[in-house]
Parts: sequence; C-alpha cells; structure tokens
Amino acid sequence: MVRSRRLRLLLVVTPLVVVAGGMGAHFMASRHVTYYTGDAPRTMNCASCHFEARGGTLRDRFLRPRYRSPIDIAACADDRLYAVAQDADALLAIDARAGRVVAEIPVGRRPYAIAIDRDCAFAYVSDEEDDAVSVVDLARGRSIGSLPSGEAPHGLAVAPGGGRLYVADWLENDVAVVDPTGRDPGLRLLAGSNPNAVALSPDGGALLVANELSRPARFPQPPVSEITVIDPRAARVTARYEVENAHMLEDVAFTPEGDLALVPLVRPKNLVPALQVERGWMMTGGVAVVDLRRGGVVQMPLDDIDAFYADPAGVAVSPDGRYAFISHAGVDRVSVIDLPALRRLLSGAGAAELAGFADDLGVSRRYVVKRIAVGANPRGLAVSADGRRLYVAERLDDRIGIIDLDSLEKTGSIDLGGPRHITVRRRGERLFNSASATLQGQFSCRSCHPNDHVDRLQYDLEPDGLGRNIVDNRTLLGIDRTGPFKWNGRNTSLWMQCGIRFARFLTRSEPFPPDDLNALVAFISSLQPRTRPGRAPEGALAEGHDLTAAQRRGREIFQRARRRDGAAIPPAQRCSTCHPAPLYTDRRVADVGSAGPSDDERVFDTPQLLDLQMTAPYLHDGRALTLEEIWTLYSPNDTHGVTGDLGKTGLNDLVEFLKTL
Amino acid sequence: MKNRPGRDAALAAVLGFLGLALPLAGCGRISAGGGAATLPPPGLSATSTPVIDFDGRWLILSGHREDLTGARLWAVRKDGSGLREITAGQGDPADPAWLPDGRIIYSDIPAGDAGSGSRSLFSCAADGSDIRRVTWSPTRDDRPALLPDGRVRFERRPLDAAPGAASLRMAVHPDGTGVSFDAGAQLPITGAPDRPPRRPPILTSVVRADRATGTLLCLDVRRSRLAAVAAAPPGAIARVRVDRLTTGGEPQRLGEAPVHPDGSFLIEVPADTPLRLTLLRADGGAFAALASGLWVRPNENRGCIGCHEEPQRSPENRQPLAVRQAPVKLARSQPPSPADSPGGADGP
Repeated sequence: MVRSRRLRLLLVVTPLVVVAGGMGAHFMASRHVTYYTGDAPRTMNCASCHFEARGGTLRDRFLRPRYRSPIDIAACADDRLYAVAQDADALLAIDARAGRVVAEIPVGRRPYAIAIDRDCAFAYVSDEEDDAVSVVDLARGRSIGSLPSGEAPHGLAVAPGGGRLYVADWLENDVAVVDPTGRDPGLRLLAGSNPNAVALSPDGGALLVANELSRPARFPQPPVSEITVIDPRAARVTARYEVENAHMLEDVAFTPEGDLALVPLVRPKNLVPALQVERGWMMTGGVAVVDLRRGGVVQMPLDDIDAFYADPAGVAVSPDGRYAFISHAGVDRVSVIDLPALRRLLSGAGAAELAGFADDLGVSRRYVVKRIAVGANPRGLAVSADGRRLYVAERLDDRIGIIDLDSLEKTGSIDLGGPRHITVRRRGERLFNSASATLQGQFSCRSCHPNDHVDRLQYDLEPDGLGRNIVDNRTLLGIDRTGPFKWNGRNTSLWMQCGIRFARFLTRSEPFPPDDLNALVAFISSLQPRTRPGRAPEGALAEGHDLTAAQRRGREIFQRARRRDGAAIPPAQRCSTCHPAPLYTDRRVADVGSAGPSDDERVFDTPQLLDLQMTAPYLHDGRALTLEEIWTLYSPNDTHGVTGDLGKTGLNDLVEFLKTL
Repeated sequence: MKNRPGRDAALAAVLGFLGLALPLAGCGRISAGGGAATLPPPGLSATSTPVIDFDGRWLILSGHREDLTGARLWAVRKDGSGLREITAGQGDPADPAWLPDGRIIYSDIPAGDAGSGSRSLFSCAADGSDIRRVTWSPTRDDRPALLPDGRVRFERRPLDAAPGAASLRMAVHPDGTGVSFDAGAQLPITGAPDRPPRRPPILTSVVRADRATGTLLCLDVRRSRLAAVAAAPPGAIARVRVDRLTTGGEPQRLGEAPVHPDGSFLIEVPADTPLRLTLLRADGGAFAALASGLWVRPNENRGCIGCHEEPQRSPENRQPLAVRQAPVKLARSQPPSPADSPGGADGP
C-alpha cells in the first residue's frame, strides 16, 4: 500500500520536476542567448554557436563533417577527372565515365587549385595554408612530396615540357617560377595585388596572371586591378594591363588560337553612394577580354537588364573556340559566351564604343547565348579532352556537374561522397555565397568578402548621409570574438549586423528569416584568422615563436611603457592597451585623431590586428595605404599611440612585428 | 459598367491561360481546384482579372455589384464562395494584385483629383484598412503587376496624352520608392487557382513617416537619351530648377540647385510630391525641360544615373562632386498631408 502510494507520488512529482526543469532551462537559455547575441532569443539551437562557431577546436575537429567542397578541377584524356577538395584536404580522382570517385589522395591543408602536366602524369596542387605545392603522382595515386611556395599559393600552371611550374603567391603579390625537381632555386616575378590564377597560352609563349584584388587606393580613387603578362621563356614581365574599376579577377583562360584571353571580373561601384541596387548601382559582373596580339583589355558585361549573374568566378573555353563558359558562384549558373559573336562585336566597335560596353547591361545578350542552371556555388570549370562535356565544380553541393556541349544542357552530376547531413554552418556558408537574398540577385556576402575576408575597398553607405562617413571594408576572419561591430561600434552582435538593417540598406530585399540568419551567423562566427605556418595559435606574441631581431625589437616597442628618453607613456597611448593579445583589440571605441572632414564621429571601433598585412589599406576610411602611413601621415601628434620618438628604424621594427600577427 | 475593353481583353487572356472560359460581358463558370465555380459571383460585374494569392486560396478582383454604386475591390475563395468587399477605395479602385506581404496593390483616383483623369497606385491591407498611396504623379497610373524581384510594374499615361498613344511601362517598390522606367526584362508573375505563384521577396523599406523630405542625387545630367542634353559641353548646364507639379494647375517653383562640373546635383525635396526638373543654362535660360513626374518618399535617397538615361546603363564608378557638399534644400519643413499617406510607412 505504502509502496503504491510512493509510486503514485513519484508519477505525479516526476513530470512536474521535468516540466519545471525544462522551463527553467528554457529561461536560462533565453537569457544566455540574449546576453551573447544582444538580441531577442530566436529559433536557435545549441549547435548554432557551440558546435559550429569556432573552427579549429578539438570539438570542431571531431564534429564538423568533412565536406568535399570541390573548388577546382582538371580533365585528362580517357575520362579521368581530378577535383581539388578544399575542405577535405584531398585531391579526388574521378572516373567521369562511371561517374564516381575512384581515389582520394591526401594533399596539404586547404588546397585551392590544380595544374596537370601535358601527359597527365603529375598533378600539382596549391596548399594555401601550408605555403606549399603538393606533387601528386597520378599513376600511383599518391602525393610524392611538396614544393615550398610563397604565402598562400593559389593558381598554378605547368610549362608544356613540365620543366617549370608557375605559382601565384596570393599573399606575396608575386608569381614564383619553380623547378619541380627542386634543383633550380627559381625566381619570383612581381605581379599585381593578390594573384589568383595563371594560364599559359596554347603555344607556351605567354603566361597571364589574373590578380584578384585591386591595388590599395584612397577613396575616392577608383580601384584598379592588374592582368600581368609574363614571357615564360625569358621569365620576365612583359606587360601590365590595368583594368580600371574592376576587381575579383579570379580565373583566366585562353582561346585555342591564343589571341584572346578571358578573365572574369566584378565592377564595384564603391565610389557611388550606396543608395539603391537597381541597374547594377552597387556592382556588376563582367569579363575582361585581353587581346594579346594588339595589346589591350576590353571589359564586357555578363549581366543583363534587370537580370544579374553575381560573382563570376571560373572560366573555360571549348577546344574548338566556339564557346567560353563562365561560372557564377552567387547565382548557380554558367554563362555560355558565343566567342565568334563576341569577336564580331569587338572588331566592329570603335574606341568609344569599346569603352562604353563595360557599363552597358544591354549588350551581353549579343554574345551570351545561354545561362545554364548548375549546383550550388559553381567555381572551377574544365572541358573534357574530347571537347564534348563541360565539368563544373559545384563547390557547396559536393558534386561535379556535367554539361553536354552539343545541347548546352546539364545532363547529370557526379556525387563526390560528401556528408549527406547539412549542418547549420554549411547552410550558412551556402547563404553567404548566394546572391538570392539581394534584390535581383545582384551580389552575395562573398562579393564584398572574397575568401571570407575583405575586398579592401571603401564604401559610402547610405544611412548616415551621402558622401559622408566613408568606411573601409573589414575582414570577417576572426570576427566572432571582436564585437561590437561596424566602425562606430554600435552593432552589438552579428545577428544585428546581418539583420534587418543589412537588408534595408544593402541587399534592398527581404531580410534573412531567423533560421537563415542563425545559419549565416554560425558560418561567419566560424571563420578564423588565416592559419600560417610558423605562427603561434594566438599570434606572434606566444612564447617560443621565432622572431627576427627586427620583429623582436618591434614587439618591445609594441609593449613598451616608456619613450626612448625614459618618460612614461600614459597607458591610453600604449599600443598594447587598446590592442591587447590575443586578438589585439580591447573591443572598445577610441579617438586616435583619425576623424576626417567627412566623418560625423570622432571615435571608432578598435580593430583586431591578426592578419594585418592582408587588410591594407588601414584606418576606418582606408586612407593609410600602408602601416607606415598610419603614423607618418595620420598621427603627427602621437594621437594614435606614441611613435614620434621612434625614428625610421624604430617604426620599421614596429611594422615588421605587426606583420607577424 | 464602364467600358474597359483593355481590361476585358486581359481578363479573357488570363482566363484563357487558365483553360477557362468567361464571356466578357458577364459571368462565367470556371473550374478551379477540381470543382466548378462561378466567377465573378452572380450580381458582380468584374472590371479586372481575378488574381490568386500566394497560398492559392483567395482571388481578388475589382467590379461593380448591382446593389452598390461604384466599383469595389472584392475577394472571393477560389471555389467562388465567400465573396467579401475589401474596399470602395476613393471611388474607382481597379486592377488589384496581391503583394507578397499579403497587402493588396491597386489603382484608384487620388483624393481631390476626381474628373482629372488622374489615377495612382495605392496599397491596402487584406481587409481593406491601412490604405497607403504608392505613386504620386499627376498621371494615369494603372495595371499594377508584381515582378519576380518584388517590385511592381505599372503603366503610365500622361493626362494630355493623345488618344491611342502608347503608355509608359514603369516599375516601383511597393512602398513607392525607386520609381523608374521599366526595361521590360522581367515578366510579371502569374498564377492559377491550382498553381499559385511563387512568392517574391518582401522588399524592405527605408521610408520613415517622421520625415518630410527625401533627397535626389543625379550622377550626371548629360547621361541622357535626349540628344541635346547628351551633347551638352561641360558647364553648359549650370543649374537645375525644381517645380512641384499639380493636377491641372500651374507648377509651383521649389527652387534651383547648382549642377556641378561633373554633371551631378544633390537636392533635398519635399517627399510625396511630384516634381518637374528643368535644366538651366548659366544665364538662367532653360536648356531642357524634363517631363518628370518624379517623386521621393519620406527618408528616401533616390539616385538617377542621368536625365532620361538609357535604361540599360549602369552607373560609372566615381564619386559625384555633389555629395561633397550638403544637399541643396528645396523642401518645406511640414510633413506630408496625412490624407496622402494614411498608413504611414515602415520605420527602421
């Protein structure tokens, strides 16, 4: 009887305790979310932040699925295909006829691009985070070593005989000429800003370099990017074509005749007040046509009137020279260009007309003959050896799309065997790379934050008045722990940063629904500062890091509390006060005397300093083109830390140290 | 019933698209969702094509009912039941279409403009409340249709247009911002009772009811399809004069602003006010009059690439000289009349 009463009591009390506990947990979780996001609790789950947010942690290593993320591909005869699996640190060997992956070959960290020699015997894969190039023996199906490269190698090309390898060192603004045997030390040729892709002409007589970003420029100077021409035989630069008002030059391909080369690009309108989106007011997509015989570059639009094709990325040309193909990473399309029609248009136009094409959205319909729907975030393209199929690296679908070149229809795709489960972070990555949330699909988050980083441009955003408060774009790498956000430090969370005001003043379309916003924030929060070989996890200040003498002196200057004459430096004017390790920001606003006549504020958010050398220009409006200029030009009275007593050598030391962060 | 052959033709065309039959003069039977329905319901003379909502449940149309005077907007279930009046508008609501946020856009006669031939676009909530004016020009604006990008296409005819003259095709955001010529690259969305259209995005709004003005930035007045304007040498166009247009009355002068050497100008003007711009020479003489009918909404910063520029033209990437100075104020300070924008607008 007693036992039965206890059982009944237990049956009544237990659910009450569970319900009360659940309500308490919900209440606590809501407070927790509100505290950390600065926003009302939304439909989040624990994984939104804890399992996805911080890359590189032990938890992340075990729990984050290894997506394949094919970013570049190369085709060989006999239907062999090779795909660079960026998130799997692997090169995938694919039997295109059977439509399946036949081998997964480990390479270095964060592989980016592939080049294959003419015999399809060896492949070279740039390993962005290892500063190296993996050499893969394709017959044996394994990596046989790696060649050291400059920082962050991206595009590659192999000389016809295999005797030279050309590597675009993205962070060092050069192209390395490398002897694959390692016997010749080679040399490095100065390219433009952030060389991203290289291609050899069919006769091997010219090497073209597509430089992704524009040269640092002070607002309102227009952005100018460069296409570098190298004579590979003489190993010297023979021409530098300036591509005005363009950037995001991510790929390059020659026509079979070798007279033209095509480079996809974006034309930013960053100098125009960002008060609307229609008519490509913010940016348009296009292609640079390089005429190597006559010399010169013409920019041709890829967008159409009220129909935009964001983020042109990869390019390939059919072996018969009839078509060129350009992938649009933001709208999941491949544009098909009728090359003879394009040639006719160009040859029949006068100089003024050629110059006017770039901003004429009505002209693309004269040479773009088809827009083919493909999988998510198409990047690298490759045409099969027989010229009958186009392969598309559908990066965020983990698939290779197949397009039949007779019908210009997508006929199928190859599953690369990535995880079936789509995590909230992966969903956020898709949203980040998609232009679907922008009016008319004109641009994506990536359009201004290539490589999850920054386009290094300045913008005149609308809400604070036209022509006022010009702001330099800021990197997303490591952003998670650097709130508040914006240069005025008024956005307390990424949810706020990417929320309704983002839609109202930038995308001009519908705000992200809560679930999508969560996913987007989960992805952005997961972005970490670039992993650099030799860099301590939290920057160069960590114990045991190997610094040069100049860098060590610079570190002492950074941490110093006294001037060279022994006088004390007030804490507020010491570098390390506002820029403390590990992120080198105190996450507060400060007045460093940088406000200009068009600024309404005098205080600005203190930026983090990791990856500083990648983020030029500097200061809130990007007016300092180099680190030196921060102090030599814009802090004459030691308003931005005390540096006036350092002299040239001391300032050089400080800059050398900052570049290690 | 007014004679609207164009609308009847459009009605017939859409119903033909649906595979249905409807005699133009009156009622017909349609088959929707597997059942037979009568549209318009008995006693209602439709003056517009029924438009299905994004859930595929309700049709909206304009028409006259025998026992009521004047046209009304009506909603009816797709099976023909549940007829309800939405609004009588301001006398002659017509051409209703669903907006993606559930509101309704339609054309009507602006208050006080009866007899002028003027029509404007308005929007209202699904129950007919919260009527907001969308277009503000003394023209005949009608036939709104939703575009896939969330904007609204409509047709415009000047009040003094010759009979049979072609109408202009315009586009505007549902909040009345961003009015521009429509290049016609997008087709309006269509649906059927058994196949509702895909919902376009709900466009955000910068409109603020607590603001009385907006700004207008022109990047280069010489970017124009008007040959004389396009050929004007630098400096030939020195100023821009701004007048407020009125229905049937004389334009009211708001003021003048300088045109900078790069062809740009930036002015702050009264919101929700139809404007006429005139380009002036340095001596004050008119260089070119632009029959604009342009307006800005409260807090809108409106950008133009040129003055009647080519519709395919994208802006050149350069900072206009005009934004290096504060906008020239050509605005009165009082807020727009509540009668003109009864519902206000979204705040940030």
